[in-house]
Amino acid sequence: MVRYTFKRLLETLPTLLGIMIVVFFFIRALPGDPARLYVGQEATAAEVDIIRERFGLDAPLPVQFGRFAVALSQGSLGVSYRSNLPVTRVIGRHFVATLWLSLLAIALASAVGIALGVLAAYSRGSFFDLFMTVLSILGISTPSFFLAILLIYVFAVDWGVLPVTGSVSVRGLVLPTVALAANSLGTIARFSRSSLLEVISQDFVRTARAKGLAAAAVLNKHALKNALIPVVTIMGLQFGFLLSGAIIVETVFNFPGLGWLLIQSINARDYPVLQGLMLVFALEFVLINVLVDVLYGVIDPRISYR
Amino acid sequence: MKIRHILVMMLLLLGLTAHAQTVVIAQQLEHGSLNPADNRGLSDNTVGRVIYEGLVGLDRDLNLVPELATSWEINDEATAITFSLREDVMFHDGTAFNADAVKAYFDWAIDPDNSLGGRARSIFEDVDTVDVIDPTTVRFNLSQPNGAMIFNFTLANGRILSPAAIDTYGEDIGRNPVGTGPFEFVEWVDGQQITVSAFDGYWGEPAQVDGIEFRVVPNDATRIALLQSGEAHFIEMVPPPLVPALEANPDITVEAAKSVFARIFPMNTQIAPFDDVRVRQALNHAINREQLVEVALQGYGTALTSPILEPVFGYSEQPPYAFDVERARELLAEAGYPDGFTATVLTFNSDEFRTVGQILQQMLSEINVTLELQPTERGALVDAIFKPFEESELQTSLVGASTSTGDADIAFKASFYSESWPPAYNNWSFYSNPEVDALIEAGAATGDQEERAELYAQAQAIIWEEAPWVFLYSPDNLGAYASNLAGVYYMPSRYVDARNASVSE
Repeated sequence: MVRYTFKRLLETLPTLLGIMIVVFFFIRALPGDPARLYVGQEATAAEVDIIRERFGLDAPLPVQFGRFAVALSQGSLGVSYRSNLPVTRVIGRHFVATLWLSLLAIALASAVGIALGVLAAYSRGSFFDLFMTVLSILGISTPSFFLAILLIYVFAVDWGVLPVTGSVSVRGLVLPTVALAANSLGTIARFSRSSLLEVISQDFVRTARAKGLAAAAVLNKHALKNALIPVVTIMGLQFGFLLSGAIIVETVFNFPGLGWLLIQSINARDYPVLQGLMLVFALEFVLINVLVDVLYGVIDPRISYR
Repeated sequence: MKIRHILVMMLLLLGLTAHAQTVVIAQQLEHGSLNPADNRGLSDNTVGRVIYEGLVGLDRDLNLVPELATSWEINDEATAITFSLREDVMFHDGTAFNADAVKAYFDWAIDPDNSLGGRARSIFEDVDTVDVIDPTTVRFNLSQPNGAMIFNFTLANGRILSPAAIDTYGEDIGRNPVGTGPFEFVEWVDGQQITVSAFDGYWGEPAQVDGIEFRVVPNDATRIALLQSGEAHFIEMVPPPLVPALEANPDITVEAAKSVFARIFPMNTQIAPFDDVRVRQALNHAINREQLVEVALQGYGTALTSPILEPVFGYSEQPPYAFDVERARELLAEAGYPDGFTATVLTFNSDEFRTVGQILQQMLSEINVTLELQPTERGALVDAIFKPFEESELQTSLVGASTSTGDADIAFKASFYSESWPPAYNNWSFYSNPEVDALIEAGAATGDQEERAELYAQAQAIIWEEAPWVFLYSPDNLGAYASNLAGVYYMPSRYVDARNASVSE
């Protein structure tokens, strides 16, 4: 299995390389001149030329790509046009922020979502079940920018208990986490409920009940374990999306994550940062895929790898 | 005993921190560089304003005022400017401010081999050499007469950086600003905020707060929430539709200040139908500017009365193009377009420009002129408008123009000078009139300010009559602040001056 994992990781290298080549030429094919955007509309052509030279954009594309490839092979992603800081440092800082936010959001969404889903499934048809259904549909269908602004007005403006803007701190993470978790929470709750209902109507659960097991034991030992497999798949998917940066939530809370960085970098046509971001996003998805493939073998011993 | 001791200490600390006053300013745009020679953005200018000082500056009405120079003298030929400097000034790093420091900064800023000085080099293009006469006197020798040059010293790029810091920080100078201003640099969290604190050794009136935090908050709704929750004291760029909600709050003051920004509709004067002056005048007559400002900006703007704005030196008021649909139709018919025509309009995809575009569309439909709006993302738009004439597909555009120096020279040179056709500069209408060119050149060639004003008045009358633009309006600078804050305000060129910030209890 170690060998398999290693082999899979090696196989991702050409994929990543291909992605980087496509990204490099694609972002340069987009309209918009980074040098002109940097100097602003009121600058003269001479100023644009100075900046173009500083950014190395005066060289032919193949030369630019050569420089990029050489730097990349040495572990450097270049320097941001906007901030003149190393791209690895810029992305690193924003990645940590987004990682915190996504971890907290997925934890909140999973804990509350599964609990609500399970309770609803066990009290199927009751008022609580209906309440849970309405709540999770609200969570899924409320646009995150609306929820974010609502949270800001209630908790920051009216009550003044939490800050308006998000940051990597206890108080600064509360509102963005809730705003970001709402959607996943709804999805996970719905999935847990329907998956559990499906499982408890199956024969082996009836058998467990029939042999006189306590309701709690049936739930914990038999039903829940089986019901959670699809839920875990969903959690993984949701986490993957959260990790790429939640553009809207990060913008409204002014949260310094990857989504925020992506928007600023696109507006400025900050090629080095954009290249770095695309590499990070590609890497995330490739690694998650490898991880999932490997995990299949761990979960289901019938699947073996060579 | 011990516990009581600790409690007393804590109370003391609380008492101390309660007096530490930091003003928070929420800005719309991100910071780029605090190197004055490379300063380009409004956000950078706002922060730079509290850290640096220039030889001369501008007050709120754009009058020249002394800063690090106590007086200045321009020779009659407008080829040399001599500044007398203050003697009691020190940079934040302890370096003495004197004529040598001024020379060192400008020599560095305009050095063609210095890739960190592009902006300063073009602003001070006409500066040939800088001479130190004595420790408190410095003379700038110009390579050609330039009567407008003194105004360039008021720009962000004319503010003086510590020469010692240039040596210390090299390439990183933009992130380690050292000036002579009332506040010194403390910290820069990339993309998030810049913090400054009061400088003890300041020569002038000391800062009235302990520090200022300049936060970058691009989202409008978030900036407003920051002010409403009390986390920010001043916020930039309030969208006009949100003003009534803020004004309803007694703890918040909204201030609309006149700006040197214009919203314009340049027409490509080299191609039909816009090569006919009657067509351009017709369009100017077909626009109801008062209504436009009322609908698009809730009234927070002023109809243009000249190609340049009122606070700018050289401004002279022109007779308005009366809103007269009949007259517009007549002019179109005379020009041979009785049934109107269709034109494309390139514009930004922001709320203001889109709304204004739609209103223009409707107003011009009254004279059978059909506008096809092309709202475009900034990067793509800039590509399109900077294409040279031969490649340009520009018919008309709806864009902005501004006069940051406070002097007509830069405004006319950018927009109406024959050599300023894109990609060289901002002559979006491809306007070319030798008479106007001569007046612009003459205006720069003399140091006699009265004569300059007269020359610019002539140029304005011609441009107004020939109407290379549909002259639209000037949007106000809309800022809002906590009512206990004073001394923070928008300058007409849209940076915020926070040097005199103070907070009352």
